[in-house]
Amino acid sequence: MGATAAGVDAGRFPRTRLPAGGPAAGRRGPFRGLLRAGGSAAGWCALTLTIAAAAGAAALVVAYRRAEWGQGGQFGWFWAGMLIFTLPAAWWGMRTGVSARLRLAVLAGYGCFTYLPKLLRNPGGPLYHDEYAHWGQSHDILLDGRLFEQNPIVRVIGDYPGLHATVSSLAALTGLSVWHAALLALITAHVLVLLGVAVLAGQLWPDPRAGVAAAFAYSLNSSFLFFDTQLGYESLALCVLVWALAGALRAMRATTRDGRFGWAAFTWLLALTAVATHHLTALWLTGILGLLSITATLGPLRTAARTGWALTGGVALITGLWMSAVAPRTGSYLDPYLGRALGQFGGLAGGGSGGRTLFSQSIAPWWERATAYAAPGFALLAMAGAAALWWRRRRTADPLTSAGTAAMLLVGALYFPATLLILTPAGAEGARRSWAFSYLGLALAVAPLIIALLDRPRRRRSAPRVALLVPGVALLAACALMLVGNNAAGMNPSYRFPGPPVFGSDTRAATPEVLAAAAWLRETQGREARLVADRYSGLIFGSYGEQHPTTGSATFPAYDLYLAQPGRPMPAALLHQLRSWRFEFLVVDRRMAEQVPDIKIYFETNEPIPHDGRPAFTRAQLTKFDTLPWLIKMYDGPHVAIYRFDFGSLDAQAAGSAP
Amino acid sequence: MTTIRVTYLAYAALAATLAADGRPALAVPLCLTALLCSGELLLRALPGIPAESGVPAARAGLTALAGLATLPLVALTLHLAGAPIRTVPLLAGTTAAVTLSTACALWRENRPTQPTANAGADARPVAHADAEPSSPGRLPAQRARGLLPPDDPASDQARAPESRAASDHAPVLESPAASDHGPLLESQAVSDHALAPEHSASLGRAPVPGPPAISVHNASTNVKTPDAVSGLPVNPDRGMHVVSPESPAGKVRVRLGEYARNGMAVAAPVVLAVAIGAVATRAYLSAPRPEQPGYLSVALNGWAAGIDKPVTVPVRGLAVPVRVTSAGLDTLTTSLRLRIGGRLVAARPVTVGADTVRSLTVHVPAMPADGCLRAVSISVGRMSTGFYARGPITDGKRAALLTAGKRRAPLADEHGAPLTEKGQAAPRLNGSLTGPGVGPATPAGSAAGAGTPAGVRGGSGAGASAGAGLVAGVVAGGRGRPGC
Repeated sequence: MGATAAGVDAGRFPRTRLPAGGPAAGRRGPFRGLLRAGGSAAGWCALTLTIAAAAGAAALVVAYRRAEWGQGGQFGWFWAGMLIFTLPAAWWGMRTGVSARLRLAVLAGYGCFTYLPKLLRNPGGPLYHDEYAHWGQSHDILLDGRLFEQNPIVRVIGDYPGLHATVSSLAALTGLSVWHAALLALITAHVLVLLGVAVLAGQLWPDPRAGVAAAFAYSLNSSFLFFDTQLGYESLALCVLVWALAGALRAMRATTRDGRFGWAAFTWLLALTAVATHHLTALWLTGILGLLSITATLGPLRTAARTGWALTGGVALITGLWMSAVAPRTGSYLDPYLGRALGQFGGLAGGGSGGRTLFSQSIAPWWERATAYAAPGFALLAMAGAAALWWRRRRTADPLTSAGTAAMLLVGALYFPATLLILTPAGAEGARRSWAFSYLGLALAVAPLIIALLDRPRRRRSAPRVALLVPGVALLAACALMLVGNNAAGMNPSYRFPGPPVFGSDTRAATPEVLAAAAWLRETQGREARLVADRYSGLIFGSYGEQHPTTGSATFPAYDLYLAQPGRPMPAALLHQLRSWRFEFLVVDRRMAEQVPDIKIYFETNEPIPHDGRPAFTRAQLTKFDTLPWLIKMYDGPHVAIYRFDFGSLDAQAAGSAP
Repeated sequence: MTTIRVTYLAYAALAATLAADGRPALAVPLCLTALLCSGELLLRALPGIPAESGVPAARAGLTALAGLATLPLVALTLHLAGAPIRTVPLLAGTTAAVTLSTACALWRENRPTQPTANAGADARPVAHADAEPSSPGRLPAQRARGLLPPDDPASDQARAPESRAASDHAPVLESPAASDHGPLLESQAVSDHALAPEHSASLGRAPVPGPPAISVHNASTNVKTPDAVSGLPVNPDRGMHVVSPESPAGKVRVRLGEYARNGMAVAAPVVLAVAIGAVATRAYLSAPRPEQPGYLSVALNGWAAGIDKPVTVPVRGLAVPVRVTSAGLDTLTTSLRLRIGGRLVAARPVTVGADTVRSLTVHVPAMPADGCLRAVSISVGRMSTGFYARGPITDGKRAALLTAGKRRAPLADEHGAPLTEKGQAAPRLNGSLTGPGVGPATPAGSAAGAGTPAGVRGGSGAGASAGAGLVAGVVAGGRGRPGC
């Protein structure tokens, strides 16, 4: 390869020759410069990726249409659509001979494309469980102008108003609806996550291909396509976390006091935003900064280590103050996800029962399940390779790069024990939530390994041309496998695809009947009334209905109303609670006596209700309310009935009974 | 763009957002402009402008994120100040944030340049604070082992650099003291000793003490970057062009074109993606969808929707408005039934049109004045609604009411509808029809038993008790048992 070609292929120099007028002749505006810099590469890239994006989008539309009509094949079409764009984008982003600006363009385009599955899933309004909660919270802020109001669906989110304040502020300033303002914020955050991972990687390795590799590797995590694109506080907070880490590394690298302070102040400001937005993100940010500080301390980096500890201390202080003063309920909210999970896991390890069968009654095809089982194995392999590479380079690499990589290896290592928690009912959700964070470490640690594997054949001058393609093809195949497998493990098909209404599915609970019942209640009784409901009715009544539903908990077992046998007295303590807390309505979905919920939950995750594949209620249990004098049946549909509590008639007896 | 100009642009965008008065087509770009300006000012105020490293997204990304983060921070501040989260307070808060950031940025830019870092830990490069400094001109071992990518200029496989078009790379970097001449940029290619300390550090590297690095790019000389001198990883794509730090200004300047090109590199794919996404979304939404399951519902309407305790039925009986809704179903005829105390009192067929909301009025007859609570159930097909009611409890009137009730309640015909005093059947049920989503039916006759009876929460205001539909029920004949 000639010197000129080498320099050109290295991406450092434009393919076009210098203008005849010398360098000054090139100063003719950005457009011509963009074309000059790697012009033909940019053109081909734009053309191929535009065609790929159009084809991929078309395939996604076909997938969703087939799912909606129950025609099957949605999984194949979906992944075909995703891979049609993802693989070429990854190839363009990581090949040599491409300018850094083109890599930036590829990442931006990839970020936009990877939002499309979620956008098509529900373009018009909230659909996921948490989306109802966050949409309702933002909507209430837009109406009332108040922050920190308790949310009826997810109680703790009122204490973390960052996302809701952002969305409602955008809606107030621009006149957009809450949903469209949310889409604007979320798409921006989604693209910024990818760019942020690339910038974060750039703090450790200056090779831009490593940044792109890290960004693509991160996008393979199970939360990237659906969970962290939803209207949820983690979606925004994660973006802030990534850039806060970039700022932190920048502060640790600064060589002047001013620079350190400036970047530290910026990092703390972002940390405050993250803390005010999402509890888990705040904890992970503190933890990752702590790991960075530890690895810097263990290396020859005194000033960087001090800076790291100062950052960690500051962020920990902000987090601690917020969680103690503003959001003290956070601990009790998070405990079930971890505490019980560990307990259940311990029981499993000890040979007990209570585990969870993966893909039980799932409609996911066999190849999705197979890749879901294989993906952690590949991740483990990649981590082992990254660790070996780090070990090999530890003495020659920049010390902060080495320390940073070590920290990322530790963060990424947390991915694997969390994977085991997926085997427990209580831990499954917590495991999924942790992957978005631990995968960040995994992606950053593995990025240099990816580049090293890609460059390996090039170092052998006698390597045949075909050999140059092998690592790239293998990596693309691994990318496809991880993308499919992680998403199959991370999100239920009913969340990923539309379909006919299904009882007990968060995403398919919004039937016309339930929506009409919620609208009737809002129109006739006003807003913000407290009511008891099952999980799915509660989502609709708590969001579109603008009411305050409760589905029960260990300390407030509202579900005992439903569980009580006909003719037996209701728990007096529960009635006293309902009365003293001024609950007004009871919503009953009689399908609980006819069908098993799709996600095996009637009210809440830790409900004391058997899940044995049969409906847990009898019709008599759900129609007994018709004969109780202290319940006034105000509304009735094919499945959903609304009763008003009349606690003054608790001791009354009525002649006859309603049919 | 200078800090002042960015500030003016922010103010103008905020004012224009207010003037746009919630019109999204105008307000969205203005608001985004204001937020980007706010983010840019925050960046200038706190850390200063970052150097690009790897993928050139640092500045643009930080600006966008800082702008986005402005909103929740302003909202939190408004909350602390007791102000509501509304358009005017938000704009005022953002304006204050812009002003504060501008003040900090201007102070930062115009303060006297600090002396270069003295000997000591702070003066020493962070990354190599306690490490052996690399010898000038010698590459790190990792490069010697060929572990760098082949496109790295310091790698074994790199060839002598070709000349590069100067227009594609930033020629000059200015120090903060001369901010009016261009944006600030920290150079990765220039050592700490060459620049003002607050902008001397660079991303991805930490320079070592030693003679100032000198690098001059021109069309014919080999590149000798200070990174190579310092022995640190080199970013081959940093896109900067550095003049000698020994020049009188000791500064470098970045062309606006560089930022514009980076901006285009983001904007172009975003625009394409938005276009493709919009087409896909539109195609998906406009395609025919499977029919949603239909439903028929019945609900207490008007004053009856406010019933919150047992109702006392007056002597003349009670007209109870109900609403029957049909959606997604064909026109159907079903039974409208009235039960009191579990006994069927009256029933008649009722036709509900497809996708209609129908208001009916059901006449609940007087009940025995025995004080017994009775369940009143009004059902349409399988759906039912109802409440609990009792007759008047006055003892003196009990017998009189019973007698009057017997006279006033005719026998029912074969359909269960009561006959009039003249022996003719009562008027048929003909509640007025309304379309879906339409308000209450047009009153076709006054309802009997006007006035809100006891046991009803007032002010529900949902639909008048309209319609001439009456179902006169036969008095059930109270059981008259105390404690029933």
